[in-house]
Amino acid sequence: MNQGDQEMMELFVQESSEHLETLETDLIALEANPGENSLLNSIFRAVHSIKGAAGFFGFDPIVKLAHVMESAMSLLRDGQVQVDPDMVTLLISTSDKLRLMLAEPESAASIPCDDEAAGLQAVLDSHAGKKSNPRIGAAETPHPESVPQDTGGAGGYPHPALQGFEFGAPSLVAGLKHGQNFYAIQINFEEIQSQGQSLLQFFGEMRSIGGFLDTILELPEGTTLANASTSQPSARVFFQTPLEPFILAGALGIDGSAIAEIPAQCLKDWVKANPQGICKPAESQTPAAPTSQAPLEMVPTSKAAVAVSKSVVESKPEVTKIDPKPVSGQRRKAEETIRINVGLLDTLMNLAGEMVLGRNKLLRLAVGGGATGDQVELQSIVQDISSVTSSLQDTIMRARLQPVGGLFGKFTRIVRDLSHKLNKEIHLEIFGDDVELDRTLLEGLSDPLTHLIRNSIDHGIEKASDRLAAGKSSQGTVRLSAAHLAGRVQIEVSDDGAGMDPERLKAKAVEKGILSADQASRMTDADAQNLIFAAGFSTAATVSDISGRGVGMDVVKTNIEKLGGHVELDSRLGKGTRIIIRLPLTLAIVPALIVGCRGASYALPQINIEEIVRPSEECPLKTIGGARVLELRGELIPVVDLAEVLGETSEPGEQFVVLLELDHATFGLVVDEIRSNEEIVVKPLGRHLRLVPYYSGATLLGQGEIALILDPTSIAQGRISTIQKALGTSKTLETQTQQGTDSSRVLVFLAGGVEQMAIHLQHVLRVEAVRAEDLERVGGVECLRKNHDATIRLVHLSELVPVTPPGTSSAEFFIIVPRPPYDRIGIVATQIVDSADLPGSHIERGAISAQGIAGSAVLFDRLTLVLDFSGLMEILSGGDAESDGSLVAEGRFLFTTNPSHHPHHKIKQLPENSAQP
Amino acid sequence: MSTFTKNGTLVLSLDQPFNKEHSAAHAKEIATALGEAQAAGALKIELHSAESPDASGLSVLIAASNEARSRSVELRLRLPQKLSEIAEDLRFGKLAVLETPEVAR
Repeated sequence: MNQGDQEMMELFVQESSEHLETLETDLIALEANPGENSLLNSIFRAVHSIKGAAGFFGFDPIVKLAHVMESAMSLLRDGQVQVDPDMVTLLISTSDKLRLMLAEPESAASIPCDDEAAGLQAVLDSHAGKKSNPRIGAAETPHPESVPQDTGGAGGYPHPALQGFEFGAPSLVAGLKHGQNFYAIQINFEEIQSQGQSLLQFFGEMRSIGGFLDTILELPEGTTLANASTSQPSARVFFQTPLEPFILAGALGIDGSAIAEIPAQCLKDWVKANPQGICKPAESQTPAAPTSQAPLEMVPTSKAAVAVSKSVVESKPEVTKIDPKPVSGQRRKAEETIRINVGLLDTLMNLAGEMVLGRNKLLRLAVGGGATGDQVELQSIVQDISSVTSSLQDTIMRARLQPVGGLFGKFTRIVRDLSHKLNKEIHLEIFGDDVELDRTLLEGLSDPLTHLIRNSIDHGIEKASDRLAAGKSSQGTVRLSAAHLAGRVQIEVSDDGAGMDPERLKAKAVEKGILSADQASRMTDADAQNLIFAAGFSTAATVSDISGRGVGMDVVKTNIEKLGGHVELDSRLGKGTRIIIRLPLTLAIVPALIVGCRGASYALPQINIEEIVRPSEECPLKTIGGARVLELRGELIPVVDLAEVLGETSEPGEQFVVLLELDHATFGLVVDEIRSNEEIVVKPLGRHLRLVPYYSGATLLGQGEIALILDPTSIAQGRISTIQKALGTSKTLETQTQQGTDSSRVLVFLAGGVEQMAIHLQHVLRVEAVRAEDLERVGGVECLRKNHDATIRLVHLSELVPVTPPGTSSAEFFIIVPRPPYDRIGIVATQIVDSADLPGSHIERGAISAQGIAGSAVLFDRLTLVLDFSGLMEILSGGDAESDGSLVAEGRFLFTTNPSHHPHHKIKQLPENSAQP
Repeated sequence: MSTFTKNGTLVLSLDQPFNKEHSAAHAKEIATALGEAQAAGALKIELHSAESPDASGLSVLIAASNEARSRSVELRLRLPQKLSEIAEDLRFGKLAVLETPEVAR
């Protein structure tokens, strides 16, 4: 097989696989909507296309199986056989066999498919009143549609786009039988020549992909022999090929609008009615006469074509101009989309990454060169290059994005199969299947999502009788959704099933020795539910082949973390469970904090960073029971020294603790320096470093230095639990319990007005001190921007809730940056008062009430307004807390920087008692 | 270019390909030959170049066919083997009576 054939073959497999995806999704949808014509047509078309293309390559087993399936679909489409679950199961099973065959088309004959073929043949035979022939070869028996019928079309053209052509019914029979596609193609010779192709080459190409049924050569009106050499002839070709229209256009290098598809059904009907019929123009005696025919007009869909065909029969010619839009969701216009090898995209992404690194170096040079005239000009040029580089990187990244719909589509099958198997009534709802995600992430998401869906079906959704007893509808719902949120993608798997019982989870954890009874009694419901992410934890009474072995949710969590994402769980007993996955758009370029340790630079992905703390008397590093901890706001946080992890010796000197959040545990990483923030291009580690556990990759920094990218998960592995044990806590749950109490801690601050405010710390990512002169005003909003890093939009509380506005603006103030996905806004505070415990029961909810304010409480002897964070975000986003499109300005993430380099931006320190600006 | 009569048919022998460079000249020669062939009732064009015809050449061929038909002259066409497939694809048989192509030696 030469390279051209190989490419065609790959294209065939790829196209056919896409057809199968459509087929499966449509079949499942058909089961729910048995009379839906569009689904029937779509399925028929998919099978037909597979058959046609397989025929072109001579893969007879595929052709035969597809042919039986197509015949059955034909009966379904015509309403001669009813769609029922058994029929759908049979068709899905056949589609599975086709998938197996397509995986290795050359050995398709080795795939056993007698059951499917026999089943479908039985359907055909029972309809035709014939005996069933269980062999595939039976597909060669006359097609049910081949029974001649008088359609009244004798003598007429089967399709308006064929007007003027001369052909006979017998010439079409072979093509129809082999699933060929039929086209009327308008050929512009000048256009072909302008592409550097001779007519001999062009028609040779055409001949290699199909057959000419007729050709009409045409000259512009008024052309004579005297002026012929300067006129522009054209041709109309009636052509048959197994190729789909957009592939055909691509193969011939002509515009897709020049191709009119002739639905095979039209031709079949005509051949049936006129087995020996001949179509020829009335003026066929003068076939080459100058033509004044109107430009070729075409019919885009089979449905329309059939309608038109009937109108032709009724001698009321009616044609439709070709619709420039795709004829179905599956078909794309050749001129708008092309296939690109993934390797090429990866290369482009790598090159863009190199360019980003170059840009970073340039920026560093340009900023550091003073303010001479040349330098200012250089800075301007570098800014332009920076902007273009960012756009280029963004565009290439987008090119790698693929809709999650392809991934989501496969769950329709899983839900259908499992609901049948478990005898549960389950409806799958899919939202946001057009949301796009980097292909690497999509691949990584497949297994976790499959697991979550299976869990929802097996454990979440109750049996119909139980649901009815609980006052629910007998049919359960599993919902799969995707949405963009603040530069990330949020994917949710939810169900309206039984939910999780925290008490049962605690009891199971105690039984398995994961928790002590005392710890279980102190554990919040939310933390108890998060136990399902612990390795080996399962509450399933029985282990099935679907779930219940206790391996899975921890793997789900680990896999999502590997993708740079987070998993959250929200379950309500009797109501259902919602699992939220937040992922970055891409893994190739990530924002990172560059830290220093013993002179070397390391990159920490910002997605894991909670805050940075400089140890002081108020938040000291301590050694308790031989374990290092950071005492911060009354909590003991396990700390790991990066130097020790890397096998370096300890050295006295200034240290920083980077608090890293790993799902439900937080730990501090002690480093020597906080160097900078950079968007880093993730490069895979060399072979010799792959086995070292603490690194997830490497990158090149702006100054040309190589930095290893630290993997917080593997650094924490084992160390945190050791420290926790040393502290007298067991297993890994203490930090979770501690974090559970965070929900009642608030940050108390002044926002410029007279009121004292409080915001729950669980919503706060960090607090930064900023100077007014660092602000920029863009489009009426105040923003904080620094070099090429992200922009943070400033929000004044007085603009959102009824509090007094700030008086005179101060030169220095604080911003409170919420946790993702709201980490691109900064709530302005003029003074950080303190943090405090504020149980929900202490909040007075009746006295002061407004959207964005949860209530009031007395803290530090002052009446304090407690903010309702969700309400605030709703106000900011215009009523939809989930949508932040208008909430944040465009830009990337800004993180706290080293105060020694940038004195205007302090690293956060939140002492127990008053942190005055 | 040369013409001769064979079995009552005027034969126009063209060495150059039917392309932009030569099509104007070919058109003139064919027009002249058609005038001469009117009495004989048939004109055979023998094309010796196996080079691909182009749009201009095709245009001349189609126009020649129309002209022959209007003059009631039977047009016959003999092409090199290499052009036989494109002649079939483009249905030159509708323009002229195609004679068996030369067999490549």
